[in-house]
Amino acid sequence: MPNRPLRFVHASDLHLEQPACGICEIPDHLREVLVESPFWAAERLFETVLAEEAELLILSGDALDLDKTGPYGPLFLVSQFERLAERGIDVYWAGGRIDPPAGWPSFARLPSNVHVFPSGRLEQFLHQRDGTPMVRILGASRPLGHEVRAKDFSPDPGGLFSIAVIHGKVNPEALRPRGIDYWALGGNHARSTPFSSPQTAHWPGSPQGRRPAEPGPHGCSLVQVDAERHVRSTFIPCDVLRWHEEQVVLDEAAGPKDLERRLHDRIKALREAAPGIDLMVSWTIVSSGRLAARLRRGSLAAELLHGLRSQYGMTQPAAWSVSLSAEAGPMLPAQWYEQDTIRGDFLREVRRLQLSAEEPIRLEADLPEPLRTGPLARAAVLDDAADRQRVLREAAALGADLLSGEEPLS
Amino acid sequence: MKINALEVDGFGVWTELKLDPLSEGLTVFYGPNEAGKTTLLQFIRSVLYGFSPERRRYLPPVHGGQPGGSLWVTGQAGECVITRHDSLDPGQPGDELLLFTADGARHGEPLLKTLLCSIDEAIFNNVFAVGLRELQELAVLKDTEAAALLYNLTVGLDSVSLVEVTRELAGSRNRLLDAGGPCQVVELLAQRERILGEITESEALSRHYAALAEERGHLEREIARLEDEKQQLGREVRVLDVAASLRERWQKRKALDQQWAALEPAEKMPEGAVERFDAFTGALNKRHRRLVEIKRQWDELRTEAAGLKINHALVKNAPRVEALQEQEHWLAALEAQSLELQTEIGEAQTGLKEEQSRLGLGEGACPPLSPQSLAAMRRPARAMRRCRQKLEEARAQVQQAEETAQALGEKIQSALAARGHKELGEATDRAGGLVAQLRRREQLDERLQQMHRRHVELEQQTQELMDREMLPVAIILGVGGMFVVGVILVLLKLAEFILPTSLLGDLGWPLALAGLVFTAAAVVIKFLLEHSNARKLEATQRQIRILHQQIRETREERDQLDRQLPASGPAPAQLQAAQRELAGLEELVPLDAQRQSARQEAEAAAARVQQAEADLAAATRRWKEAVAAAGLPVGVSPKQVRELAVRCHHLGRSSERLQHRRQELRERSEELQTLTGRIGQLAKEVGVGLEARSPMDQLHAMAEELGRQKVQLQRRGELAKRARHLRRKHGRLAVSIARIKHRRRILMDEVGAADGREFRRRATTFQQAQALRQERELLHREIESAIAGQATEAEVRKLLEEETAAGMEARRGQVQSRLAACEAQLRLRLEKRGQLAEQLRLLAENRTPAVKQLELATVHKRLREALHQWQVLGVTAQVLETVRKGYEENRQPECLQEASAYLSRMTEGRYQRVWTPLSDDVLLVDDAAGKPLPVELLSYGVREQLFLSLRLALAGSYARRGAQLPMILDDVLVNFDAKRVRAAAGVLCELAATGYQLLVFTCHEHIARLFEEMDVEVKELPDHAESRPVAALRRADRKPRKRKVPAAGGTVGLPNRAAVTAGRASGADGSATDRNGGSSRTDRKVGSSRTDKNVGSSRTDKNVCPPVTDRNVCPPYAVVAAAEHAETEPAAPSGEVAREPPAPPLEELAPWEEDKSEVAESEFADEDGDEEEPAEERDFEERLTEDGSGGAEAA
Repeated sequence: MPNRPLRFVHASDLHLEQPACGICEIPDHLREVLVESPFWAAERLFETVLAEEAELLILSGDALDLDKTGPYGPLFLVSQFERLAERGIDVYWAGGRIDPPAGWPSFARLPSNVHVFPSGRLEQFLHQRDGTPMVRILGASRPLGHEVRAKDFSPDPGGLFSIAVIHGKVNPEALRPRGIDYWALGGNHARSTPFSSPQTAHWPGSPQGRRPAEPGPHGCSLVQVDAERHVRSTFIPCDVLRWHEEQVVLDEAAGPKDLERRLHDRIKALREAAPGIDLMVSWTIVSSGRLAARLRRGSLAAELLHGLRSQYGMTQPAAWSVSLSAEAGPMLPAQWYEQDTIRGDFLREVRRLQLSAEEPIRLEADLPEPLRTGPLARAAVLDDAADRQRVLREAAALGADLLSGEEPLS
Repeated sequence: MKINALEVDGFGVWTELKLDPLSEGLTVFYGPNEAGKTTLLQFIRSVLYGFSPERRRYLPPVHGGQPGGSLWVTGQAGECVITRHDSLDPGQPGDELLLFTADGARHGEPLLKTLLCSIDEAIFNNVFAVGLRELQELAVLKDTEAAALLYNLTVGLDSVSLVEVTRELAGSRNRLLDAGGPCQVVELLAQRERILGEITESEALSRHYAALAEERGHLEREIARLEDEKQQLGREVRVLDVAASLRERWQKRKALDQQWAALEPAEKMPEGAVERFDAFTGALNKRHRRLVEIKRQWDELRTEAAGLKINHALVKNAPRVEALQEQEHWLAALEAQSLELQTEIGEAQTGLKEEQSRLGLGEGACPPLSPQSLAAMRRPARAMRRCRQKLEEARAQVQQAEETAQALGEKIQSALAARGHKELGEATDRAGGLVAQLRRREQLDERLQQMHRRHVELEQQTQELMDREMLPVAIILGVGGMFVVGVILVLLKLAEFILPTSLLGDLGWPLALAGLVFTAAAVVIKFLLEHSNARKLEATQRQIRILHQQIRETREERDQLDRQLPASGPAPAQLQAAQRELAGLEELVPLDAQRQSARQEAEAAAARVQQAEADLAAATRRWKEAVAAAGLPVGVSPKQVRELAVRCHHLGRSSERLQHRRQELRERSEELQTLTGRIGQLAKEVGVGLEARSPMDQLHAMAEELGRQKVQLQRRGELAKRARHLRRKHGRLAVSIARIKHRRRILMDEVGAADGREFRRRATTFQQAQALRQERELLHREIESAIAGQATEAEVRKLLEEETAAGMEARRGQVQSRLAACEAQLRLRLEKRGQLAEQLRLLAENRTPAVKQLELATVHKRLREALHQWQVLGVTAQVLETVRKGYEENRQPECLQEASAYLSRMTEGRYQRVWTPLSDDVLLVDDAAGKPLPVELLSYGVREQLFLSLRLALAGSYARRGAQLPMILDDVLVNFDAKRVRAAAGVLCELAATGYQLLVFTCHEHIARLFEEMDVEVKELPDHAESRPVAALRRADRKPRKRKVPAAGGTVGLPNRAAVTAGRASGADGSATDRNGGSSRTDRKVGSSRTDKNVGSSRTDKNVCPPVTDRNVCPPYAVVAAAEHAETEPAAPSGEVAREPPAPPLEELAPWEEDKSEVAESEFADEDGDEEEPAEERDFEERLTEDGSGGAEAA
């Protein structure tokens, strides 16, 4: 049982091999930050360890894919590890899905302060301070193998503070009764804490969001353990590029000017909330009026996007608008479904398909013959329920727009 | 609307044709070819819609008659008659419509449009009144309202074309994903494959880097080994070099060691003993020299002290001398002040005397001038000054006024002299009088001229009045006429008494009275006119006389003035000269006034001078009195008194200062004498300065002597002090010499030397040994420093003792060559290591994998987006396809559903359904098996049955919308086989039974017979080509139906034809009424029952002939009709029904037998001469064919 406080940094899923992506058009002035953002975020992580004077760093897997980063990735990590070694900070690293310890290249020799858990079996390290054991760290790298189970993790019989390091999908309920003081989990790009008292299980998330689906701030967790073994986890952002999914809800009478004003107000608020960080914003406009149809079909969306990009996307730091789309589906007027028109018949047929989830929707016939057996074959089958509903919702909006005869299909 | 009757006045072959009454249901008109069935159809079209250019070919009527005719109809406005005629005159407006309602009111196009239910001509011609040609031209309905009834499947609330939407979707999908051409997805897939390949290549970077890193490690080890070898060889070379370089010094050190060992052992010599002995000896010598010097200085002091002499009295009185010397400045100041005071006193005495003499006071004292005495003198002085100023001003004014008067007088005199005058007033009066006379002379001339003009006017007026004594001719004629008329009227009245008949009738007396008035008025007017002229003439002559008198008086006055005036030229010139003279003289008048004023001013100023002189004398007297009262001399002026008042105080102060200076001079003289006595007494006591001329010189001499005595006393003190110092130094030197000698003795005792010489010898031996030792130490340090870091001494000793110089040189060459080889190898490996480091650095900094990952992710994103969009488009298209199928199956237009029923009946179930797809405005026909067939693939007969079904359905659609018009079908059943004719007849009968009016024209007797069998009224048209006057009608039904006809002669009835004609002729607005009281309905009854079934034998038997008129015969039309018939059907004689081709079983024709049906179509089209296509229609269809939009339909 430690009688002195302990500070360590917990991070996972550095994914140095994955640049920030998920956008269709890459602006030239943001290409570098998109490519380098995982490394810059990782560098901030190591600087955080030094700045916070943490005693150790725990990496819970998926630091990098050696095949995809080339030699730059392992050399970068070694250089950062050496920075910690100069300050006497130990690193405990459990390999994840993409970074098994066995694949570590010989040209990037890990310094002595890095302790890597072996694959397939559990191993423990006793971290000492001034010759006194401070914490017991046990873990395993992936692949875990059959011999490593949750029940294999047990608290220290001597009462030392125990940290379990593991990567992958786990059942928090299976971990809770094991008595481990701190489960340093990896494999989840979003920060979460399944349970926190008296023991703690924690996913710190990736230090850098990489796609629009990973919005918000990302970073690492500074964990502080007091003499009474109370664990307090503090989030420290490390990302250099932040994704945002912004939804703008407009009433039926709102026009393009209203939308433009709302967009500008919102993007200004985002910039003020995160100064010094490049922002990537995906806009979703929810409107039941004609504005939504104009956004879906006309050039209004492109014009608004161009305006936002030119005004806010070219600055330093940039607030780049990734996309601007109109929410489709449930916002269509209800009376359209009741009209005795082709549009009404169309919408009723779409609604029938939405309600009949078991009725298959197959597009093989629309797929050109040479492509029916290729990688696109799956695209012809809408077997995923969410995809099916999304496609039907957008199809309803598209059909309604086309049959309303307002603007040509762009 | 229903047609009750028609009457053709003249249209085509028809003249005076009446069809009355017409059934409200189905009526069949039978007539052979060229019987005029189509003409009747066109007639109905013309009456309802006018004589269009294509229908004007039926005009003028072949058999004469007025172009046009009438229709009796029943519609929404009740019973009406519609009449339309054409003027045939190119200069007149076209056709003329007359529309009368039952109440006789005339209406126009609006009511006709109401009767026609707003059906336009195109719809009427192609739906309600169709011939065989119109029946086959369904495309004509395109762009009409009827098309909407047929094809309204694709229109509705959506207002967009589903086909267009589907096409758009397909296009968008093809842009995304299309196997046949470039599309976004395929391009993205290609990009993905390319990037994946590049990523695969970039994955080898790590392996390459690892290999290079391993190679670098091996190289590092090799380099380390070579560097060790190089270091060894280098060290060996350096050892050899060091040994070679140390060989000489090594031998020398060895020799020194041997010399040192050979020296005899020296006595013990304390360290520094020699130096100390030398130091002692030197110190003793130095101190001896200093003793000699001190003795010499002592002697010099004694000599100098003996030469110094001292004045003790002066030294004793030195304080007194110094005290007097301190008062030296005071003594000089006293002398200077005394001299200065004496000079100042002299100057003051001189200045005072001068001032008194200048003020006129003499040598005496200045009298006291008190303020009161000065105030008493101030007033007389001021009065005297003012009087003097006034006197001077008055004298100046007198002088100025006199000068001004003199100048003005000279100027006036010179001006008058220039004009020859002496006095200004006289000259001015003379010039003014002359000007007045000349102006009067001019006024008289003007008055004479005016009177002459007035005289001329009066003469003219007199002449005119004299001329007017005879009245003008017009007035005389007017007055005379009035007089004559009046006389005549009176005479005519008077003549009534003579003549048997009254010429003036009932107006006799009034006219006679008027005649009297006229006569009297003429006489009065003549008298008044003549009297007025005479009065005016008299007045004018009186004025002339008065004017003559005035002229004479004026001339006399002018002559008198001429005599008074100088005869120096014309009057105007004289007037101008006189005016100029007068103006010049008038300019001198102000100058003369100024001169007079100046003289008066000079006189006034002279008076003021006299007064001022008197005042000045009085003021001078008062001044002298005041001066005498003040005690001053009488002759002083006020200015002198004022100066005296100022200087009097100054003179007093100067006298006081003079006294003060004299007192001060006395005090300074006393002080100077006291001080001079003290100096002289002191000089006697000290014996110095007795020969001096002044006390100051004595004092200076004593001070100088005292200074010299002080210097000598100070020198004597210094010499005594130096003597004491020399005495102390001599004592210290003696003690020091003794101490040094003692210490040198002790040193020699330590060395064991008896004296100094022995001590020197022993010291020399000791120094030689020390020199050898130092040289050896130096060599040893040099050898050690040469060896240091290069080799050990043992190695060098070994080399120098075991190797010779030549041997060492040979060995060094060998080692040097080995070292060069090693360095070369090492250099190569270092270069290789540098290359490897550069490669590794490039590999380590290579960011291509990340860039490719970014590109791949972007392509994946775009691919997902494209596929998602493709899915959305695909699902949308699928749903739209479902909607389209539903529409085509279940939501066909009602019109097509009804047409399907008709078609099914006409084809006895062979074709079940006619429908239109959602994708286009075309019709498809489903056969009994449900297979859809395009209309183009149907046989000719089936197509006509289809088109007839569509017309009937369209008519039904219009009827349901409130537009029910009679249908006129012209030979539309000719291509039907017997069964289908019967089926079609049944359909028509059923339609008629539901309230439709149908007029069916046919040239086939079997069709007419068929309708007769179906109890349908059949009427036979007369053969207008024959010489019968009027076409006869016969009723086929044996039970003629009664038609509702308004009662003849009723108050409300249709206008008869005469009224219509009259209305047209008068252009009445419809208010004209038939005076004969209604129409003759019997005139329109022209039909008769048809009883003879042998239709083709003799038309005369089948008709009831109307009265023969010449208008029914028109030879020219017969020629034209024959010619037309010869062109269209040369081999077929007119009206031969037997030549009709049998109706083929068209429904059995296969699609590939289309050519036959087309032949049949052309044959049928040319069968009836009336069906010849007008040139305008052909051109129109050609345009349609050329036009892309109408080409398909036209084909």
